[in-house]
Amino acid sequence: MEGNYYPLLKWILLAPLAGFLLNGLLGKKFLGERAGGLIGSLAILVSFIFAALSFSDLLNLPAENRLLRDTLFNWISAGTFSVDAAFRFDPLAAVMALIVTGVSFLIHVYSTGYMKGDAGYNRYFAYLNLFVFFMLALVLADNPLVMFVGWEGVGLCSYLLIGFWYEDPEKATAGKKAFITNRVGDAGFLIGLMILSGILAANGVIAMDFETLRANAHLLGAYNFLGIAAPTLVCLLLFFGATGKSAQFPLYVWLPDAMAGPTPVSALIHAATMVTAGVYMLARLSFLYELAPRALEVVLLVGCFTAFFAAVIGLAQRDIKKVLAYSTVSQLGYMFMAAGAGAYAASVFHLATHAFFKALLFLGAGSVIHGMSGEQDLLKMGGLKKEMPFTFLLVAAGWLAIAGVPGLSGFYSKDLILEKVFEHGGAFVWGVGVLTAALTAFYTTRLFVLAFLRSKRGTGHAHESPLSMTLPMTALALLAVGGGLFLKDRLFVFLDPSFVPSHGHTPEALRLMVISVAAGFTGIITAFLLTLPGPAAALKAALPRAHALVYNKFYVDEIYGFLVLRPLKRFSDRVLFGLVDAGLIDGLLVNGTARASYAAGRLLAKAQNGRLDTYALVFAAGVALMLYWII
Amino acid sequence: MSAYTLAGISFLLFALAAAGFLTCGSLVRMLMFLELMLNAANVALVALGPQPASQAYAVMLFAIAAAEAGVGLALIITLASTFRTLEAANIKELKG
Amino acid sequence: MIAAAVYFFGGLAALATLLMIFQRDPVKAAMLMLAALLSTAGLYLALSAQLLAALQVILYAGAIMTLFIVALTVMPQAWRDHQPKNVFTRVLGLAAAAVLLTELVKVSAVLRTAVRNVDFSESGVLGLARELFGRFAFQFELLSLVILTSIVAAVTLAAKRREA
Repeated sequence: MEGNYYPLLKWILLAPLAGFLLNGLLGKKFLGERAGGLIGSLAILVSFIFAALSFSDLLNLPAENRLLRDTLFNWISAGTFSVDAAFRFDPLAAVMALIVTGVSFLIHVYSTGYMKGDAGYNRYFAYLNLFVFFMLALVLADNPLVMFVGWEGVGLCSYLLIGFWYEDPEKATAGKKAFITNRVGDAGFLIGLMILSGILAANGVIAMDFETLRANAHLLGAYNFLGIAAPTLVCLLLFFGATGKSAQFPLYVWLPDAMAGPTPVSALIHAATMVTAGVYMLARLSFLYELAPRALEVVLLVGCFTAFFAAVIGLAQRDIKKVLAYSTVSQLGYMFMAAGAGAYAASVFHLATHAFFKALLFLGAGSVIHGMSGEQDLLKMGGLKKEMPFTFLLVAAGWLAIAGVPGLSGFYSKDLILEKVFEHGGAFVWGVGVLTAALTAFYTTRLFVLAFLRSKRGTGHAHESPLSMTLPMTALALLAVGGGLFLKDRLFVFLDPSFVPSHGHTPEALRLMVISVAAGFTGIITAFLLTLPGPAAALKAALPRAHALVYNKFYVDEIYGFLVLRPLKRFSDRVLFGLVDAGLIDGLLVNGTARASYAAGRLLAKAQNGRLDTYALVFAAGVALMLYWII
Repeated sequence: MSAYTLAGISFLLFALAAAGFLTCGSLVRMLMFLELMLNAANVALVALGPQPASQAYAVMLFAIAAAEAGVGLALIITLASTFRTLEAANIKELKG
Repeated sequence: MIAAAVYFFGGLAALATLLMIFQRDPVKAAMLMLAALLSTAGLYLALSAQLLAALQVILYAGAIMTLFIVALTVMPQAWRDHQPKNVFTRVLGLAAAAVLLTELVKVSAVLRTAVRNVDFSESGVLGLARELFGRFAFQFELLSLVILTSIVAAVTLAAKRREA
């Protein structure tokens, strides 16, 4: 097979696993806080270094043959079906691995400051390392099964980390919600995968690695399920899994609740890495999606709708982290829009820039929360510019990046996406995208203004965060500001060697760019105006019902509760508990067995009742039978 | 007449007495039917066996029957005084 | 004629036993048993076992029956079943007896060919005496031991009762 054998690959994965084992097994008693944090961060640093080394080795290879492989062990071997725990390092995987390990390392360093003094400090780092391990397994996987292992694993770690402070039942419930919603999506993913492998196996293709899949994907075209072509069905099912993992409509409901976890967790998992798994999957399986244009349309529409919908909800939220959560959902929608338009490289580009500025924003929010000793309500903050100058500057960088101010990273990636979407033929979708850009700028500016500017509304004195927290934020701010410019063409050339960077823009493209930038600035200015207490109150008074609707996230959670959860609970109670558990298992099997043996015992005891006449009867009957037998 | 008929008569007597023995509840009644069964066996012995040896055996059986009846009644009286009832159904210490 | 006598006495005994099964009154039941025993004596007579007939009357009808009658006189309620047994057991008992009869009859099918002459002979007592005091003398004497043992047993049981 092609691909050079590169034994270093496995160490990218095993370093975080080692960190997990050390922190998990030795924990607070033997390691203590400082050593625990050190080990956790070091593990990721080692991983990052290995990833960088692999990346440089990859660059040395000729552009058409950039592929490194490694195999850990033979995982499944059942007759002719054989799956290895194999990993590949190609340009796409390289980009993802670098982002994951790099941003993770920064967040680990940040966490050493943020989580200081927490009772579960070592457990936290163990979970974080485990998460990075699974995420790397996901991006470096050479076949969809190993990818699914990573897929599930990050879901698990997400649950563990969201419900990190598990003593609070609300937080534990949020963790459960995340895991279960993810699981629903994963069911779709698995079914899609099964159909895929089933069809391929029926045609004699048994190996499951991506190269083989790419070569044989066309075989799917011959099959139809209930009128839907097989490629479309598989792609839709896989996308359903992606909506769960990457928080798109309809399975996005877990992400806002996931803000119950520690803020660095939100930064890592729900901004930079786990939620991008869906986008990565789409990019990885792009050859499959190219066979199913209808599925791509669905992806495009869902991404567009989600982006707009989430941005609207984010307009009226009070909790600083919730605003950022809905912002993440919205930006992921952008990435899916790009993928739906066939521009997978653009979606990966936005993935990268989003990782930078969203992680920065989350870390900044964490810094604010840390400084305000736990306060998260935006309406109780204000005037932090003076009290937390560092954070102010760094968050400003992130704000400008996400708002699409020209020159910063967000501008490049978002603009590219909008251009590609327009090219793909959807003026309507493009329009919604531009509107969403305006809304994005609005709510981020609102967040910035309410938290840092204007007069101070809160009580107490906010202290600036320690160096361990501000240094990683600085690194991210540099990336957020300069990353776009740096990566703009290099990324595309790297991902697709046949890409030719265009010089200058067509007049069409320039016009689109001007409109989207204008939309961004409109959003910023409107936010400045509307967050003044006067206009804000007036607006709220004018549209009370609309405000309530938006503030309550359009009651989607309540609708789900009514449509899905209540019937399920009732079914569980009546049928599964009442009928099956209490009735069948308890009543029939457990108690029934006891009663049956008791009854049998009583029946058999009649044979020894001490009564003469019974004995005589048995005696006579026996004699009769014996005679009958003999004769 | 054939020996078959004689055998049949004695078997009939035995079966009737057995029927009575198996369907009664009181101990004394059981003993009485028991004696009748023994009597029927005696008839069979006399009717079918080689004379006069079988008759000698029959004489001995008389004596044994008498002895058995005596002992049986003594036992019944003892049981009656211990259990205060003469029903075979109630004279038991097992709980079956 | 002898055959008729055999049938007559045999049938009588059978009838008496049958009636006894369904009899409730202890006095009548005792009478029926007596009838059965006496018919057996007649049967012996018909079979030319005169000594046996006499002994049957003396021992069975005279001694054993008297014993039962005394017992029934002392405790007349001993005859009745105070608790009616359930039908199932009764039916089972009757069925067992019926099956027993059938089987026994089947067993003795071989005897169809054997012929037994029941001519009336004057007296076979001499031959019987020779057997009893000759060949079976030892067993005959043992009988007295048996009776002695039973007497001792009965007295012991009765004595125990009185003391208890």
